[in-house]
Amino acid sequence: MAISGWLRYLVARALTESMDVRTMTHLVRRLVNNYNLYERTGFPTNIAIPNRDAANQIVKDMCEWELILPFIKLLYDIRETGLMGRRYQVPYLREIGKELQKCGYIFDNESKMFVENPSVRKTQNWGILREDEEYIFTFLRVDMVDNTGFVRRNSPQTVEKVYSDVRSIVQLSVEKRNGRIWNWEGDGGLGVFFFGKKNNLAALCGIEILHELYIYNILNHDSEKIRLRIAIHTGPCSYKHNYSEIRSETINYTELIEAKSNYENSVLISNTCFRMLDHQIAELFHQININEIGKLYCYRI
Amino acid sequence: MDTFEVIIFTDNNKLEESFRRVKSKSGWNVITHPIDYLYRETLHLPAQSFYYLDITGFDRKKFISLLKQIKRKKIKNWGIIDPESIIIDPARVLSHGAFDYINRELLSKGINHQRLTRLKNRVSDKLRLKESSGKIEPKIIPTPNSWEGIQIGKEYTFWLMFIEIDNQEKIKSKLGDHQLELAYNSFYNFLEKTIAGIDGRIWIWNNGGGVIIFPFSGGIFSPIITGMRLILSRKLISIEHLYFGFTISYRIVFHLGNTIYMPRGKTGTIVSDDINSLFHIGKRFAKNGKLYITERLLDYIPKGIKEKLVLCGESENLSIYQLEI
Repeated sequence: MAISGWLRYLVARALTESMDVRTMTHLVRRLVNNYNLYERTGFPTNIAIPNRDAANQIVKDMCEWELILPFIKLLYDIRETGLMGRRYQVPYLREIGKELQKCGYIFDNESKMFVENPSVRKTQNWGILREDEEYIFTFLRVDMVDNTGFVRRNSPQTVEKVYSDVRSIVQLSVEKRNGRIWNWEGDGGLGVFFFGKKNNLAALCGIEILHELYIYNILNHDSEKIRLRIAIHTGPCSYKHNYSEIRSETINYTELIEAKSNYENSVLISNTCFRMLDHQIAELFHQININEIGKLYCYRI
Repeated sequence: MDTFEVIIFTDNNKLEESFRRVKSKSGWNVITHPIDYLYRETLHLPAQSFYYLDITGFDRKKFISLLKQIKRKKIKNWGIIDPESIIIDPARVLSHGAFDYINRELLSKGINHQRLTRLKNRVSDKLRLKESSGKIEPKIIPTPNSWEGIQIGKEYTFWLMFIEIDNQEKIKSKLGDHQLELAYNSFYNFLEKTIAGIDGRIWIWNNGGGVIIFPFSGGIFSPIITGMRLILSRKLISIEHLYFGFTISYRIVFHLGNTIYMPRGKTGTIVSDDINSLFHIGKRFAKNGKLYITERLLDYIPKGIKEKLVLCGESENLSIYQLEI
C-alpha cells in the first residue's frame, strides 16, 4: 500500500497537535492491543517521550503494519464521537482526506471505511482486508452449464475464446460494482462483494451477467448458445491472500446452491441474502424450492 | 403552373409585409387570416398550401391549444412564426409536426420564395411518393472521421435515435416538481454517459426524451446493441442509475437520415424530413417499452440481431421493424 511522505507528515502533525502521548497510545491500542511506545521508540521508560517522536513512531508503525487506513479512520471517529468521553479537535483531516484520494483511496459511506479507488487500482483485498481476519462477504458463483459437453463439441480455440468472453462479461459486471474476482477456473469462478450494499450489488450483478450473456448469444448466433448458472449467498469468511487457503462454509454453501440447481440462465439467491435485498430488487425474484437446500429465490430472463 | 398558397394566421396586419418577396413571385399567393379563423368549423384548408401560425403574445396554455387545433383540423405543412422568441428550443416544434420555424431575425430580413420553394419541393416529393408508393432513399453523406469531420451548417447522414420515457403524465402526477427534475436529470445524465461511449450525442432534448445522433460511416450499426441493453435492462437501470423511485419504460426508434448539423440549442432553423419522420414514428407509431428500426437500417444491422426483427407496420412511408427481445 503506497502512502506518500506528505500523508505521513500530515497524520503525524494531526496527532501531535491534538493529543498527548498517553491518548495517542490509547488510540493505537484500539488496533494493536499490546502496543508499547517505549519499546517501539527505544526511549528509556524513565523519560517522557516527546509528542512529535511518539507521533512519528506511531505513523511509521501503522504504515509498516498496513493499519494506516483504519488508524486515520479512528482520527475521524474521535473527532465525531470522542475517545474516553472526550471529543478531540483533530486538525488537517480535510488535507488528509485529499491526500488519501491522491494515493488512490476513497471513503465508502456504507462501511465508513477508506478503501482503494477502483478506477485507480484493483487488488484482491481492496487494499485493506487483513490476513486471517473474518469479514462478512457476499459471494457470487458463476458456472457454465454442460461445460464438459461444450468442450467436446467445440475446438480448443473456440473454447478458449468463449471462456475468455464469459470471464470478461463477469469481471466487468463484478468490478464496476466494486466487487472482485477471487477465483476463475475457465468455465466459471467466484466474485466477491464487501463494500456498499453488497447483497443488492451482487443481485444486480448476477442479473446483468444474464442480460449480457443473452446479447452475447444473439451476436454469436452461429455458435453454440452459452448457458450459465449463478448463485449468490452471504456470510462470514476469513480472508487469505492466497485463495486456495480459504476455508469457508459460506463459499461452500454458495457452490452447493449452484451445483444442485437445474435452473439454467438464472440467478439463485439464498434466503439469507434475499432478506437483505432492497424491495425494488427483491421484487425481481420469485421463490423456489430445491431439495437439500430448501428455500431459494430465482431470477430468469 | 399550379399556384401555391401561403396562408398566415395572425392578428398582426403588418406581418404579411415580411412575405412580400413571395407574393411578388408568380405561382405564389399569400393570404392572411386572423388567428381565430383557425377555430372556425367551416374553415377550408387546401392541401397545396403552407400554413403559418403567428404565436405573438401566446402563453403556454394558448400554444398547447393551438397545437391541439392543428391536430384536430389535420393540418399538414404548417410552420410557426415566433417574432418574440417565445419558444426557447425551436427544434421542439419539429417534434410536434411543424415543418418550418420563423423567428424575428428571419422576419425582419424578409422571407424569400427560395425558402418556400425548397419546402414546396419536399412536400411535392412526399406527395409523389405516396402516390407512386415509391421510396426515396436519402443521399448518403458519410462522416468517415466521425465528429472531427463534421462542420457546422453542412448536411450529413447520421444514425438517428429517438428515445422517450413512456407514461410521463402518470410520472408527473406521482412525483413532486423537485423530485421530477432530479429524476429527469438522472435519465439525461445516464443516457449521455451511455451514448458518449458509442460516439453519440444528445442533439434535441425535452426533459423526458429527444433525439440522439451518431456520425454515419457505413459500417455495422453498433448503437442497436446499446438500444437492446437499454430495453432489456431497464429495471436494473431504473434501480441503479435513475431517481424515479420505480421502474420506468421508454420507446426507442432507430433511423438513418440526413440533416444539416448545427450545435445543440441552435437547431431552430433546421428543416429535415428525416428528423420529422423520426419524431412522428416515435410519438405516434411506437408502443411503450419497445425498440424499432426503420427499413433504412436493415443493411447495417448485425446478422444475429436481424433475426430478431419483425415487420410490424408502416409509418412515414417507411417499413418499421420491431426488435423482439
